[in-house]
Parts: sequence; structure tokens; C-alpha cells
Amino acid sequence: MNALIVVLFSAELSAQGLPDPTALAKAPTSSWPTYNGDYSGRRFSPLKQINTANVHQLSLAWIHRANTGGGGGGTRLSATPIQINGVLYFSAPDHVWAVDARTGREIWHYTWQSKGGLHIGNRGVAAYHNWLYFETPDCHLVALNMKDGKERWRRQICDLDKFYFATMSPLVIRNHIVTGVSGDDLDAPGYIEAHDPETGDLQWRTYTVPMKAGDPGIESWPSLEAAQHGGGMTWITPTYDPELNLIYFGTGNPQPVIASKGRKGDNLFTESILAVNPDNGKMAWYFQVSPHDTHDWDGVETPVLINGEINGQKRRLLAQASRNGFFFVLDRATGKNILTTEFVKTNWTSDVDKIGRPIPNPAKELQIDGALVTPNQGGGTNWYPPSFSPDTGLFYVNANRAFSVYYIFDPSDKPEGWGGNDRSVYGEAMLQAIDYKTGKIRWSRKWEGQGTRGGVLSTAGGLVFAGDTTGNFIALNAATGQPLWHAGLGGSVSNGPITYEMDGNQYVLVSSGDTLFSFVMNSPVK
Amino acid sequence: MRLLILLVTVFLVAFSQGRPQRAPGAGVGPDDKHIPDPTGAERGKKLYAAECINCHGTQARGTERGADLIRSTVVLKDRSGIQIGDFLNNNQHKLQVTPAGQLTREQHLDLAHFLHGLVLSTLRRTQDVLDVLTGEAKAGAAYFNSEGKCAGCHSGTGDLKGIGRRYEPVQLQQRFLFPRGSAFGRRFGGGPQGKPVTLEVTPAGGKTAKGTLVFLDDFNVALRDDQGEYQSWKRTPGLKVVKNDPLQLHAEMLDKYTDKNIHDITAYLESFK
Ligand code: HEC
Ligand code: HEC
Repeated sequence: MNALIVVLFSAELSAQGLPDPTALAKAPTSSWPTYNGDYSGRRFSPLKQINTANVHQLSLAWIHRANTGGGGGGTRLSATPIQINGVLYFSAPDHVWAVDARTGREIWHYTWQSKGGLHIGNRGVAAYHNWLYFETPDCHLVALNMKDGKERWRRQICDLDKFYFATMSPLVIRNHIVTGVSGDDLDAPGYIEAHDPETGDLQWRTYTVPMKAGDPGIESWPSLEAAQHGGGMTWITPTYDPELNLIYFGTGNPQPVIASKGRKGDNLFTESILAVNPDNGKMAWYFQVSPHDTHDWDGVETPVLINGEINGQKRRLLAQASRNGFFFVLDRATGKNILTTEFVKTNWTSDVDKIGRPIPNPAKELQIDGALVTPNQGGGTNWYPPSFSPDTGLFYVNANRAFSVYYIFDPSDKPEGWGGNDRSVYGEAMLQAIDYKTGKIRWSRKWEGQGTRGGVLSTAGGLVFAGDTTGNFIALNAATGQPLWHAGLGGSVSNGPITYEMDGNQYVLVSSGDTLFSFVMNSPVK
Repeated sequence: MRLLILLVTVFLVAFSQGRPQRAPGAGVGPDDKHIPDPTGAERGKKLYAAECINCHGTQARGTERGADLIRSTVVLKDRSGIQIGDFLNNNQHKLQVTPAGQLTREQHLDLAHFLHGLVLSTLRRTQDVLDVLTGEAKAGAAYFNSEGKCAGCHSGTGDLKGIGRRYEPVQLQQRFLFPRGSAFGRRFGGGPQGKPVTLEVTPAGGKTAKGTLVFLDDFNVALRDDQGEYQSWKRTPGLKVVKNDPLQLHAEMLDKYTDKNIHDITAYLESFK
């Protein structure tokens, strides 16, 4: 083990006041410097100025409506903002803003001239020293100056002509900018890359499906051609264990997505959690959460790193609440499965196999005349980030129990692209608090209505912050699930909430639609 | 105002056809992607059948004799037949029917219209349900009258009379699985909202108000009563709220149906003419 890697820096910000990318092994307090706050993906803050006793006093500091310059409206902020030195940086497809965290006023706004691509969302920007990085729907990684939003360089990271697009918030590890790609309209292979932060040059690319004869996983595809077009996109920011020097990320659905006749087999490494060395892109291990998926259940959801205890033994764990409705706990050094349980009731499996994988029931695969399946295509959960509190030992995730009918449109032997799809029937939504040691649901808060799409934050103040289905942003007691405070945002929470301390006050930020809301625990006026 | 009416009309037309319509490939891929011209694509199809089909297959997805052209970089990078034409003219592609260089620029363009049309028709939401009428109406009837308990609330000669005429089979399947339009996600069923959810709200020591649900969450509740009055309350421990969803049973049934039940019921409902 390289000793340098294990050094934890005590200061969050280096002497020049610039974010030190090596300091992120520790949860931040005065900043929120990356998509997940720190490398672990826990979205747990050690701050407790806002706590169960006083959260009812939490009040609005300001709101900021993101203006794309096109007359307003329409933008959905699904980005988790980052906050460094009192400035917030966040994005929407083709747009990046810098906003004063004290006032909510815009400092600068950068607009990218788009050449196309699906404008479904952008998860945020990454910071490295003086620079910001973000991905565009038309397949570019763009570097900006932090101080004025001027473009420094741009690099193509995917091929728009092959219907790729890009949404991921990049991850900075030392001198690597890790990027991922999206796109499941046509049948293209997924991959993850690292770029040089100074020049943007490609350092490595690792495909998530076999690309040549003899590649690992090739035996899980009927042919090389099927594997090379097998999907497995990489669209959620990885987490990172500095001691093991491994990044962890989930991969998306296999292609062709629903109609699977032309890809018999497990379809590795789609819908898998992968552990990869950030210095060279080499895979250390994989665990497939959905072998041979036929329901578009991208296994990309944040792999959350937990330092916990299983049967009295200290373990380095990784937990994922996956879109297929299952909760997984793995040993993050080896990828060995420790636990597989449902976090919402599902109907698509016949069993969980010896190595912890849910095995699909062929009857629920897909039918010309319709197969009723739960979760629906939206999933038991989706991209919105979950949270883990080491204080309660609970993993919090906004979940959906929804049904839809899956139809096959193209029954031929070689379907391509979207040879099938689902139609939603009915759904329920709830916030689940899962005990990572047992996988049992400790408490569940069912929302009225359906379709939650918001992230979760937990804090040492004994709180969980999450959105419901009717447009409330809610603080709940982390141990019991009892709501203690709420604010109606006028629309559903659309990103992952964050928190930090500034000028002696703790703030909580969340977005809904095109609006960023900043809440604060005020001090008495002197 | 006129714009609004227009938008609403477009929306209704889209839904009355059972699903939201959009141009194939709208919003995905490059903005300057080749949008096929239908007449050119028709000519291209004939040309393809004469010149290419033997090797590249009926759907251009490849055979042992020729590559998949839907996944072909040459085709995906092509605009207006130029790249496809260059490939045919300059390449080692020796085996073509009409020798290299002898197809015209217009013919390359027509082939491009045809091939790009095939590419776009493999994208999300470009294809549709084939056939849901595969079940046995008789088995559906048996389920309707016994296990499914449907007959407790419905009958083929009463409220469901003519339902087989009112909906396309796939809509019918969606309607009975859950008859209310869902508030999120893709739901294509269309049709009326059906009986609303009702509420009974009783403040501590007060009179019970009854009405149709307008809003309900963990913190507030609102209804519209028989007189059309809107009433709302903050939810407190003393406030009793009883919710009555006439479709509760429909929701619970989703955990019970087998897919065979569903196909049989669809066939049975389709017979209610
Ligand atoms: C006798 C068989 C045969 C015929 C006829 C034929 N092709 Fe091909 N084609 C092939 C083979 C084999 C390949 C793959 C090897 C190569 O690139 O030459 C190919 C490759 C291609 C490619 C490149 C695919 C890639 O890798 O991106 C295109 C485009 C193409 N053909 C178009 C056509 C068109 C258009 C026609 C009709 C005008 C046609 N071909 C007729 C056999 C054929
Ligand atoms: C407890 C009563 C109840 C039961 C049992 C019940 N339904 Fe319904 N169903 C309803 C209600 C209420 C509606 C909403 C339409 C309305 O307002 O009448 C409805 C709507 C429908 C519709 C849509 C009608 C339309 O015009 O769009 C169909 C079809 C249907 N049900 C089929 C069934 C089938 C099949 C079963 C058995 C598997 C069943 N229902 C069981 C109460 C019930």
C-alpha cells in the first residue's frame, strides 16, 4: 500500500483556499466540495448545529432561480451543488452557474453551445484547484476557470453520432478527472475514462463490456458483436476508497434494452458494481446486481462506502440500493456479497443465488402480450442519491413500489435498440431506512401519491432531509422517521440536498425545478 | 390563449392516439442528424432490395455475408449519403451487385434516406405494442366471476357494457390493471379518471366534513364538499382523516394477478361489445 495515499489531510482547504482533492476522505463541514460531499458517497454531515431539538426553527435564507438566458423556466436542477469558499457552483444541461452562498446572487453564468444529445439532466460540476469540470449533453468534458467561468479547454468524451450523451458529475482523484457516459437509444458500449486535469488528455478508458475476443466476461455473451454493442453506461459519480485506491461505480442496462433475444447470457459487466484502480483503469473486482436484465434497471445507483461491523467484525463495506429493488452489501476489498435483500417488494426474481445475485424469473422477462412487473422501469429507486448515517447505522433511500406492464415490440431473433418498453400502471412512494447489518427496513415513511425523485442527506444532528411526492422538503428524525420540519417548495425535490457551515451558521440547500433554496439556522440578532 | 388551445389540442390528439407522439429521434443524437425523406426512403428501399439485401439482411441488421448497417459507424456518421457513397466507391467493398463507382449520387442519397429511417426506428418510443389479445375469454370470465371478485363491482352488461369497443385492446389492459391516470411516469392508457378518492375529516370535537380529495400529505389536507366548498386543515394529532379510495382493491390486485390472468381478463373484457 502506497503510504501517500492513506494520508488524510486535516485541513479541508489547502493554504491558498483552493480545494485539496486528497482531503475528501473525510466528511466536509465548511464546504461541500464534490458531488457526494466526500469520497464515501454517504452524504452524511458531522454538523449538528441544526438538530432534532431545534430544526423546527430552520428558516429560508434565500432562493435562486436558475436563469438559462432563454426567457426562464423549463430547467430542472438535478445537480448537487458544490460549495467552496462561500461560492456555490452548479449546473443544468449546457449551463454552469457560480452563485454567492451568502446572498444567492449570480456571480457568473457559462453557456455551452450545444450540438445535440439528450438534455435529460446534469448531475453537477467537479472542482480541482482553480478549475471546474462538467459534462455536456453533446459529449464533451469542459474545463472552466473557477473565478470567472471562462472556458479553459474542451475534450470530446463520447460520440454523439452513436447517440451517446453525458450527464455525470465528474470525480477528481489526485490528477485524474474521472468521467462517465450515457446513452441507451442505440446499442453502444459503456466505458469510464480518466482525463488529465491540466490538459484534458485521455489517461485511460475502461469498457464495461468485452470489446475483443478473450476479454473477461465474453463468455456471458452469445457473440463478440453482441458484447461490443452491449451497453453498460456509467452515468453516476463513483465513490472512492483512498486506502484501497479503488473507485466504485455501477453500470447501466444491457443493450438492446428490453428485447433481449440476441444477448442470451449474464451480459457482463452490465448492471454491475465495478471496483477500478483510478491510476490505470484496471478492474479489481465486479459484482453483478442484475444478471441479464430485461427491464432497464441501470445498476448505477451510488455505491455507498460504510466502515461497519458485521457479526462483531470490523469490515470495509459497500452498500447499494439498486434500481431493481434490491439492497446489496458487499466487502469492498473483494467484492464478495454479504447481504442481498429487497428494499421494496418485487415480483421479478425466482431466487437469490449462492453468490448473492437475484436471479430473474424467465416468466417476468418480457412478453408480446405484456408481463406485469414491479419495480417499473423507473425502478425501486433511481439516480437520486441515498444517504448513510454512521450514527444510526441506517441507509436512507427514496423508494418507489411501482408496477408496469412490459411489452416486447420486436420478437425477432436480433432485436436492436428499443424492441420493447413498459407502460406504467400504478405506484407508491416511500422513504426507507435500511439497517445495513441485516437489510431489514427499520422504518418506512410512506408518502401520499407516487413518484419520488429526490436525494437524501443525513446529519449528526440526528436528522434526515428528503423530499416527498407533494413538493415538501422534510427534516425527519433519523432514528424514527418522524417528520420534524417541512417547507413546501412548490414542486418535488429535484436533486440531492447538501449542508455546510458558513459564518457560524449551518445551511441546508436543496433544489426543486429551476429553483435553489437555501435554509439556515439563524443566530439570535445581537 | 389561442396558443394554449392549440397546445391542449395537440396534447389531446396525442393522447387520444394512445400515446404521446414525437418525431423519431427528436431530442437524441446530433442536432444535424440525417432526417429521412419518406419518398427518397421508398426509392432507397427498392435499391437496397436489389443491391444490398442479400448480404446486409431484410432489416439491415447484418447476415453472415454482410455487416450490421444499423450499428455501422459509416451509416451513423453519414449525412445525405456522402459517407455511404464514399464507402461504396472507395472501399474494399468489392462484392457489391453494381460495381463500385457506378451508383449515382442520387442513389446514395436514397439509400441514406432508407438506412437512416431504419436507424431512427430502433430508438426508444418508435415502436409499439403488437398484440395483447392472446388470452382465453372463457378463463377470463371464470376469473372475473370468482377469484378476481370483479363481479362484485362490475358487470359486462352493466357498467362495463361496450368497453371492448371503447378502448383499444392495449388500453383496455391498462384500464383494468389500474383505471386512474397515474400522476407520474409514462402512462398511455388515457380514458376517464373514474370515481374520485373521498375523505372524511373530523377536527377534535368538531363536525365531520366529507368530500372529494383535493390535497393530502403528512402536513395538510384539503377537500371539496358536496356544496362545492373548498376546505383545508393543518394535520394535527387531534384531526382524524379517513381516506376512501374506490380503487384500493384494484391496487391490491396487482400483487395477485398472474400474467395469464391478465391476458385472459383482457380477452374477456374485449368481448364486451
Ligand atoms: C456481396 C455482399 C454485399 C453486398 C451485396 C453489399 N455489401 Fe456492404 N458489406 C459487405 C461486407 C462483407 C461488409 C463488411 C466488410 C467491409 O467493410 O467490406 C460490408 C460493409 C458495408 C458497410 C460498412 C459497415 C461498417 O462496418 O460500418 C456499409 C455502409 C455497406 N456495406 C453498405 C452497403 C450497401 C449500401 C450496399 C448496397 C448498395 C451493400 N453494402 C452491398 C457485404 C456486402
Ligand atoms: C371494490 C370494487 C371493485 C372491484 C372488486 C373491481 N373493480 Fe374495477 N373498478 C372499480 C372502480 C371504482 C373503477 C373506476 C371506474 C368507475 O368510476 O366506475 C373501476 C374501473 C374498472 C375498469 C375501467 C372502466 C372504464 O370505463 O374505463 C375496468 C376495465 C375494471 N374496473 C375491471 C375490473 C376487473 C377486471 C376487476 C377484477 C379483477 C375489477 N375491476 C375489480 C371498482 C372495482
